[in-house]
Amino acid sequence: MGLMQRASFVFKAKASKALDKAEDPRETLDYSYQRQMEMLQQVRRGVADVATSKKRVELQATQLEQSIAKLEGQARDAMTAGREDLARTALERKKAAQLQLQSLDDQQQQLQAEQDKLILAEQRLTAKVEAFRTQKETIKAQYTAAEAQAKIGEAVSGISEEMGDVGMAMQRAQDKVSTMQARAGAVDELLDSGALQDLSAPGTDSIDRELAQISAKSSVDAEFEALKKEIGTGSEATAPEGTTGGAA
Amino acid sequence: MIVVRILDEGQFALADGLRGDLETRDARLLTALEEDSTDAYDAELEQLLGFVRTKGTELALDVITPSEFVLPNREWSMASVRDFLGDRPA
Repeated sequence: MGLMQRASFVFKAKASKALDKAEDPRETLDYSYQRQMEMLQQVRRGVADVATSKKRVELQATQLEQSIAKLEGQARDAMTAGREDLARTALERKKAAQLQLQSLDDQQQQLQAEQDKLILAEQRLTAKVEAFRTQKETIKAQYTAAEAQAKIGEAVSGISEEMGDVGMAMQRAQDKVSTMQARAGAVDELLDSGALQDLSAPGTDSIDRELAQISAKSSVDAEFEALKKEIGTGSEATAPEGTTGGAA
Repeated sequence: MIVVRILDEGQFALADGLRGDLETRDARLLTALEEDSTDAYDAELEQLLGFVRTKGTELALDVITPSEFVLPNREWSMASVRDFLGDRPA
């Protein structure tokens, strides 16, 4: 494998890894859940902030109420002492404090309404985040199972391929054996016909074969003559051609 | 058609008939890398890049097609190519 192809494999493997990572729904779900939890924390912090502000307003209102009562007392004392100017000033300050108290009451109501809304939102969000968390774990489990199944599938297909290779190898071996057998048969035929010399059987060249043939023919001729004598037919007509002259 | 991608440069389509020539040049480049010969590597990479650029037809970047071969560009040093290939055995 050349450099270009290796680079191609590496490049594709790296890209595939990057894509796999980006596309892994488990990581996406976890990230999403984390974001939701952060949002929930923000809402909870908001509820706490509003509650703190409301408390502060309540304290200010209490102080103002005390101040109003005090100013009213001072106005009475001043009037009793014949100091109408001081009594008027005290009453003016009391009026200003009362107006401020009214404003604080409005603020307090607004903060209460905001706090109620945030508490409701926090409760709903908590329920949603909890539902998401459960769903997330289910999806993750499903994905993990699917991934495992895919891996098993890949492994099985890998095994199948290997088995295929084994089958192919056996087929090739069988083919080879058949070819060798066919060749062996052909060689035997050629040896029998004399077209090929059997080097494993020395001394059977063409001269040997010719001598053997002559020897066989002499033997047949001798046997024929012996049989002819024994039966005493002497029939020349039935004698095979070329057997009357004895051994050649 | 053979698609060769030159990293950080572009993609080129080469005729199937050039495969042999391409592989021969690629083998020489790999040999230079394996022999740690910087001069040979630089020369072979230069030649191979030139071969791809001149014999191939550049494909537009928005053409989405799988590439068969990937080549580093001229800016890649031998060390960076080795690092890139490092996680794969020869």
